[in-house]
Amino acid sequence: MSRHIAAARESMIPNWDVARERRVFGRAVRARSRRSLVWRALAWSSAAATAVVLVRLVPLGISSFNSTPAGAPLVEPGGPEPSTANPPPTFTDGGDLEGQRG
Amino acid sequence: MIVRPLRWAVLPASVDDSGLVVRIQSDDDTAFAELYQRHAGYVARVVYRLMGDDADVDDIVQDTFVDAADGIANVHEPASIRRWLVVIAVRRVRRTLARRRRRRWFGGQLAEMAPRASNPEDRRLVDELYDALDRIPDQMRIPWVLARVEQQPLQDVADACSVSLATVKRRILEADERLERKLKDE
Repeated sequence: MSRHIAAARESMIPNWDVARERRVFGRAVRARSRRSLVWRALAWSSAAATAVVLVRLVPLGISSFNSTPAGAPLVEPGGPEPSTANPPPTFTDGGDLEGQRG
Repeated sequence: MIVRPLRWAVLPASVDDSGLVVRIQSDDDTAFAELYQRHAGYVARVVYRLMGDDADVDDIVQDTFVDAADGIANVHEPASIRRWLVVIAVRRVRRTLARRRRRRWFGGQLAEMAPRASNPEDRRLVDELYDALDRIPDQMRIPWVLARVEQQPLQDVADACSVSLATVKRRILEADERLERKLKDE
């Protein structure tokens, strides 16, 4: 096997001249530019997708954004008490009579 | 990710590899062209010996340097940039060899390739060797070629193959045995 290895060391040398070196460099430059375009397209499309999702979701979430935060009291301290002039019907009146008590 | 174009240029040879890498890391594109000119020939030779023919050398060298341009900002040992380039090239070679095997598995034909050596006796020996290498796994072929043909230090081979020193030694010895057997059979 040592003869095989010696022959490989001796002869396995590519013909790497200046023209080939420059050609491969030029291809690398183009490949890098293409990769750059792909990255830019990916960045733009992901930004656009994020924007679309936000535009769709934000209006739906406005009411919840404006609602009372979790854990806060339903009636603000010092604010007006809820009216009891027309209390809800009792469970025993069949729902017909409004505002009767006792 | 910001990708800047590569530019061809010649820098004075007084700048060593560490200096070049530092200049590239500080956005000097002409320094990258100089790095390419210094190491592309060496990378091409390593790739040629690993692949056994010329068919994919240009593609692999090209991809190696495009990957290098993308990743050079993270290089922490600028002095050993050549070893780092070989690590990238070996990764590309591994993929290309795997693709070739799949193509062969599905009955595809390999591209017509130029003779590996001009001397007929050398050509016979080299053809025999690479025919035998084609019949051992790539995880043995790659470290074997790097160590025996390219004569790289074992630690560099282990780094290039991303395995431990013990593993790379075991794989090379196993490749020795298998190749010896196959070459005797022929």
